[in-house]
Amino acid sequence: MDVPGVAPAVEPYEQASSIPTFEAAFATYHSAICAYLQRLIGNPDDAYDLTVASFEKAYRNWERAPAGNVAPWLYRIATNTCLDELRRRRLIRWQPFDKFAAVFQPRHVSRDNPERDVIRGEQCALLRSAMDKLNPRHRAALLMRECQGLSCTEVGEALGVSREAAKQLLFRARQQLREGYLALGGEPLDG
Amino acid sequence: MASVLRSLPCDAPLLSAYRDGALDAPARCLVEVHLRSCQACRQALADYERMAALLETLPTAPPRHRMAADLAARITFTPLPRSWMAPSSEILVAASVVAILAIALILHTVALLPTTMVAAYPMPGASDVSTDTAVRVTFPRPVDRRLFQDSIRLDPPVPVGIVWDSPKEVDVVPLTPLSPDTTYTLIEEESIATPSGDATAGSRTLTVFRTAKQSPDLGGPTPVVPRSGKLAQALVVATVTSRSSSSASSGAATGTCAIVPQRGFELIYAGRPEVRSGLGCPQASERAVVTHTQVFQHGVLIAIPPNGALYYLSADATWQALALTSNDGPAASGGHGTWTIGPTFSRYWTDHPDAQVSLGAPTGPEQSSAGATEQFDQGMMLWTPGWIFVLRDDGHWQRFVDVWALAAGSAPTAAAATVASPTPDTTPSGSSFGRLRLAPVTPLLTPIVAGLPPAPMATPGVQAHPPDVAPLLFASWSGGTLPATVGGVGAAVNADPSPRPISRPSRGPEPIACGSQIRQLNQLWSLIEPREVMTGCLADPGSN
Repeated sequence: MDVPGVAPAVEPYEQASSIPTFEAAFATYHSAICAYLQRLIGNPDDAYDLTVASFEKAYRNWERAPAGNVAPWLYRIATNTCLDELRRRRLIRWQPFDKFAAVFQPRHVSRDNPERDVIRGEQCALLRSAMDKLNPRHRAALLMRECQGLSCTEVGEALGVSREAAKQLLFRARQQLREGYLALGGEPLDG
Repeated sequence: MASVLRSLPCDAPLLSAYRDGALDAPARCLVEVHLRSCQACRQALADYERMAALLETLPTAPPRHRMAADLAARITFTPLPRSWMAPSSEILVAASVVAILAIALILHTVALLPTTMVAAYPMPGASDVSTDTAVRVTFPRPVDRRLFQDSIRLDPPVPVGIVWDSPKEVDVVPLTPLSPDTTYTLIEEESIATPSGDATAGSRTLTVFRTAKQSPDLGGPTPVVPRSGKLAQALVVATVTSRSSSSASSGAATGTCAIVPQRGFELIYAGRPEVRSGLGCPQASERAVVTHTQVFQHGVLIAIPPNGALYYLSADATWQALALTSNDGPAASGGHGTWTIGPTFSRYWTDHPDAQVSLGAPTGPEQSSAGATEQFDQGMMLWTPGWIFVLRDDGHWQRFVDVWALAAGSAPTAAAATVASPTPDTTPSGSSFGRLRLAPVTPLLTPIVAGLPPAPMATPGVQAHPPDVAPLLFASWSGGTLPATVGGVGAAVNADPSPRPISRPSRGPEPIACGSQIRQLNQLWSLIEPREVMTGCLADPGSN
């Protein structure tokens, strides 16, 4: 932690040099991967199923898990599972945002500043539409980097490309997202 | 020099890498100098940052707490592809022998099949059946449940749970794994009377099957009965049974309680006498609250803003309540890969360096969720999704799986469940099996975290769980196979051949959840919490 003189008693799983047990990996990552897949596929129910399917695959291939940091490997499985499913269903489009928001939005509307929340909601809707237009791999790279906290190297591992290629993917993703957002009528973002 | 730097062309890929922190120092310096003079690039960078912030605010729902159970179902019930495409000659020989035996069994069994039965699974004569199987019997007409329960048995004897899917469909679920390479017979020993008054007499073989040679690994050639909802259904059954019997019984046990706990609280309260006696009577009905929970290496923090309290549950089985101060501190953060202290707890965290030492590092993010609390005379019960905590005023706490919520995962059915276990003294033939009779067992109500030292748990008249149960609840697996399932819940049944004294006048059986699926579920539930907490809790009562 950030407190001087107080070091964590046990290193987090990510820093361990050996392969964590499957249950440790599940406990550590199932929530994050479920959130990632929700943002990637846009539907919480599908994301839930895909998360379970991903961890099932991980379980069955656990002997192939890399020593040390298993996060990129898990994200790789989750991403591939999701992209396969998208291809299979040809469901590259996001769920309409209002349908999604109808389920979850109430939690995110605070009572103290409804106007800001409306604006925020509109921005989210535009951003979601812009994300919809991204290549799924670009989308995955951006989400892993910006929302899941993976490094460029880890994003590369998760997508099966080099670090430099991951940087290129991230750059294109950002550029396309920004252009798409502005083309949809989004105001230039400011603080 | 400065003018040269200012005149650098805009380099969008470099800017993106700058945002990723993926540049070396000279390149970073170049970008920063350029940014000072380039409005377009500043705007682009700001846009990247704002879009990232917006992305993070896209709503996501936390994973349902059933995920571990669903994963368990998929892992357990789905056969792996096997290398049966190229069997060795020994396997071929063995297979042919098994096939001949199977045909003989079928021929033998068909003659014995009662006309009142439509089908059974495993089918009569089946071989290579998973030792984890349940036996399903389907009847053409509704069957009297109590009579069936009293007359059914597996030979060789195995304690079984009875789960009614409908009045015509029943599952006999072994509570311990079946022995490998053994022929089992499901026998209906007496008559089954239908509501219309028909009765068939005599001993009948409902099905005969032979288990696989080895205890099944995850890819057993014969899948376990493929029904992912079965477990939840069994639990619903347990719930229904409990509700029908415990309202009166809890009052009886505690004397004059005016209020009876509901739902998951009720299951714990009614099923665990030591909880009942430790907590006393409810002071009020449960009330819904918002809870914030964060798990650490050596304890759990739970904040309940409506109570104005922050509960610190230590792995040494003690707890304390603290006043919940308004929180304006930012999330205290660790390095990459380390969970941050949740916003609810950051104030407490920074104000209490001692707690930082005793709690250790967080092992997960802060989770906010709906919850419920109920105050008792000598403590409280607290529900968060998946768990029920019992906090006693004597400073000890326990945690239980929320069976009610598990059960609510599937549509409740108006079914009934009982548990049968063999008793060794009622078989006239002197063979090893016995008649089945009801025996109260509450495996899932065993505290998942052994929060209380053994001594206060031992209520007079209540058989303590054998020592091998607790480790089993925490057993975990890694690699390709689930752990051996010898002992455990089933052992708890066997170790307690005489039914536990039932302190309440209920005629109904106690709640029960069935079989090896339960054990696997228990193991998977333990995943939700980090293992440090588990092992710490386990170690402490014994070592102190």
